[in-house]
Amino acid sequence: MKRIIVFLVVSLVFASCKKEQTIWESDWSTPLISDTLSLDKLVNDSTFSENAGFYQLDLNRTLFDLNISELISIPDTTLKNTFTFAASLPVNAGTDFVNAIEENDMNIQDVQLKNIILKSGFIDIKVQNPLPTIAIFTFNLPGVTKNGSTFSKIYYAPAAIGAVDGVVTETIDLTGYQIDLTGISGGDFNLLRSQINVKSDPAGPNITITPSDITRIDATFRDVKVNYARGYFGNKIISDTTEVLIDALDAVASGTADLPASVIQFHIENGIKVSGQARFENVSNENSAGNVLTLSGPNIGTNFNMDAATGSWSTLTPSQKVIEFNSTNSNIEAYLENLGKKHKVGYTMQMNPWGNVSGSWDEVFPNSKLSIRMTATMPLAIGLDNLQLRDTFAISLVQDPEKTRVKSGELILQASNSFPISGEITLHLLDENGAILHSIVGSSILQSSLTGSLDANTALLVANSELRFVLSEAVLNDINSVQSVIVDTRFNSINPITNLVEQQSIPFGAFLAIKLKTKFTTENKF
Amino acid sequence: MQKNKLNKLILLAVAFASVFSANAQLLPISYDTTEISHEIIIDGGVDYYSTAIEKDITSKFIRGGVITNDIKDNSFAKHGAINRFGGIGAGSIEYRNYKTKIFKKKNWGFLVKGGYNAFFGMLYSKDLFGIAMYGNERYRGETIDISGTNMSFMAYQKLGFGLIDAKTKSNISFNFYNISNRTSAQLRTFELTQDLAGDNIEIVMDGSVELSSSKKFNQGIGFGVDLDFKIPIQWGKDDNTAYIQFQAQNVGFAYMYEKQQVYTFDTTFTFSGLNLDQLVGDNALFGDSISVLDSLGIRSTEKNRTVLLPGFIQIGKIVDALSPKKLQSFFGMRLYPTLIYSPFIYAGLDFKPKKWLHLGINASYGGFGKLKGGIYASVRFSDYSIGIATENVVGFVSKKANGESLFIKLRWAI
Repeated sequence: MKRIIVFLVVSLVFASCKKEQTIWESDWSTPLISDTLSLDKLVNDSTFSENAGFYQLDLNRTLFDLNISELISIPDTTLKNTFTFAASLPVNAGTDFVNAIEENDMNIQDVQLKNIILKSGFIDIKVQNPLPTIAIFTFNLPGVTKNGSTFSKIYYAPAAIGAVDGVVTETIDLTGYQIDLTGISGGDFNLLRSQINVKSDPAGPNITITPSDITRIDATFRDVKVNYARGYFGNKIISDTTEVLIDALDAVASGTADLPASVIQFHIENGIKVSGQARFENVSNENSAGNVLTLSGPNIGTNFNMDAATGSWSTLTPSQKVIEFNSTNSNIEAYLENLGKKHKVGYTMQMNPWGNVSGSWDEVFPNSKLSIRMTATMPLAIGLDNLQLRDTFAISLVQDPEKTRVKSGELILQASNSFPISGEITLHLLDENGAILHSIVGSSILQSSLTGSLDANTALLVANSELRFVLSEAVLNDINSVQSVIVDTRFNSINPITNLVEQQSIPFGAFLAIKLKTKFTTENKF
Repeated sequence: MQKNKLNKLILLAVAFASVFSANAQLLPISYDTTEISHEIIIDGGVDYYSTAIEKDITSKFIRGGVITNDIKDNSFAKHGAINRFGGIGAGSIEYRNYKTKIFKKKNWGFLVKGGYNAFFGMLYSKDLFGIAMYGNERYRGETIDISGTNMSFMAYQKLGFGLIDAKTKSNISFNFYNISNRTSAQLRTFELTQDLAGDNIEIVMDGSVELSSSKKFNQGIGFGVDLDFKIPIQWGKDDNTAYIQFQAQNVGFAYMYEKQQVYTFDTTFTFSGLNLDQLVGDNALFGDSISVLDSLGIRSTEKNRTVLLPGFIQIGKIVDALSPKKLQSFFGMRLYPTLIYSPFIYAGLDFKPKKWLHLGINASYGGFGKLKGGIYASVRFSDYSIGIATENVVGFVSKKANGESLFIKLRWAI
């Protein structure tokens, strides 16, 4: 028995020995990315257009747009009308005891309005009767009309009970109402006339009004938006600096681009029947290296006039003003070749710089707007000399060296390129401090279409390339430390005949078809 | 100590260790009709083998080590269209009491047994071995067909109570089972086609995979029976008596009360690579709301399952330990109710040079493999006896063998 126990103990010691890992290698491949990059999506995006079989830049961006609601603003305003008597007054049934015409300031700032038509808005009316009999309120707004009818309301306010007034309230939609704001005289502005009549109930008792009885009617204009306004819109000055960001150019790290002669135009459109002046204070851009280039020329800092729009309603015709920056009146080419990622446009616009010369006949219509639009047109012919683009992507790949892992491998990029631009691609693997752990250089260059052959399907020159990025065992051993990867590409537009960098036109329909595949050797551990 | 010897010692140790927790299938089964009062049997062992996978690979999975390309190539070359691989690890301890009569008019004693079993089996194609060992790279421009793959694994413990005829030693026991782990997979169709350039992958799949979703030791409960009947027959021209044994072990069902993770799929999936919009930007594929399984058409549910225990039935002529003959034959057949295990037939000769010594050789075919040979030795010392056997003798001496096998049996009878 003792022998058996000893034998079993020895056996269990053997059995509890930790098993070594089972290890073998296998080779795997899989497609990862398959896509075609082109400029097609930008053709209908006011960025590119076709010209004689080639792309041209056809940029169209609105920098500033002022519409009627931003120009004319009517604040919420309450018209308060109260009526009292200095001494007690006996009032027989059916007697008018208030009959008044009032002039109410609409509290409109900066502009002097004569006439407005409302796009929307409400009036909240509240009448209060302090008398012990029914009071009949007639509330007229003589200057407020719709479809030829003057605003007029009659309210039967119930008798007060003790110290509690009889109250009637109503909210009326003012959409489509036209409001005359010339006051009682007909020559003022921002003033609204009101007419109020209060009568005791003809079928009620005779009463006595005391000095403490306050008859009241409040009318609150709320959420009013105008559809049309006439008057004097004041000497308004609008000054601002607008930024235009081009994110794609943020990736430019070094190198130069040679662009053809170009034109940038600023279109100022004035749909308001107000004359004005405007000027560009400054136009500049800053590239990814921090270099700022200022657009210079006589159009910078010089006032130019903006004529008032003509016509009215459906015949309204905005005035147009085009300020052009071209190679003869500015440094536009250098400006664009700075490859600015951030563009700043500073401007000042002044309405009625010469005062109320229209005799308070400034007008704004529903479709009136004041806008500045930038357009740029140039053939998309680019000369690139080692233009380096860098883009950084965060990644996190974790491998346990004690478990199944990728031991080595490669990324295979197969490309069909119909852009006349070549590229050299390098991947930099960075640790959490941004230090480069490994740089993986593509095995060959992304060939320019100029070195390719004519593709029968697209009628474009197409060059095929295969770039291999070898992931060595050393790279994969450090993969857990990699927190980001920089894709660093140097672009060149080299003419294969002259071997010189030249401007190359981008053929319409140009594409870059890519297939990224992986090929890995895994060390399987079990 | 040489590594090879150490490995064999480990295998021996595993076999002995499993003796204390499971029940095994020792060949040959000798029959001793001597009347005794008590008997304790401890047996166990491991046996794994394949139609094609050489021991050089399987031993690496058991003991560890590097599977080189040569090792992979050797096994790969042996694979046919349909292949099998599987094994059992088992051990049991059983107490038999022949003295206590359960029924007054019957000569029936009782028995109590406990044990541990693990069953693993797989029916698979050559391509499955190929992709698992080499990866998919070598199959560019081809279709990897692993349709028809059928895999089953179950580990369980049992506790049984039964009756035993004191004279014939025939017995029956009723067993309760604890299922501690279970996995099964059935790929009715699974084809992975790659074009030569490696640009496109198409997967056609129809099948299901069931896994234990819990790590608990107790995941299911089962009920089953073990039967062991010996029937005397006339054998030979001299009116000698021989014994035919009908044996069934672990025949029953189990209910998995811990839910099983069931993946089902019947879909065709084509992949040529992601486009850039799927990788970056607002519509990126790998957002929180995207399920990769859903996008592959794989449905995942949790279900309770009622499953068959991996039991077997065996019928065959056994060796009579009390026979005066020095040379006896034995043969038989074993069946598991699964396609993974093909009908297993065996035959052999028992040589008894001394009353206390049995030596034997046998050959078998089927099960998880093809033809293989076995040897055994059994020694009796007074009330004790010990037997040791292998059903795969080549596995002890050659790396080219398709498996390994070792069974131990200890017996104490008074």
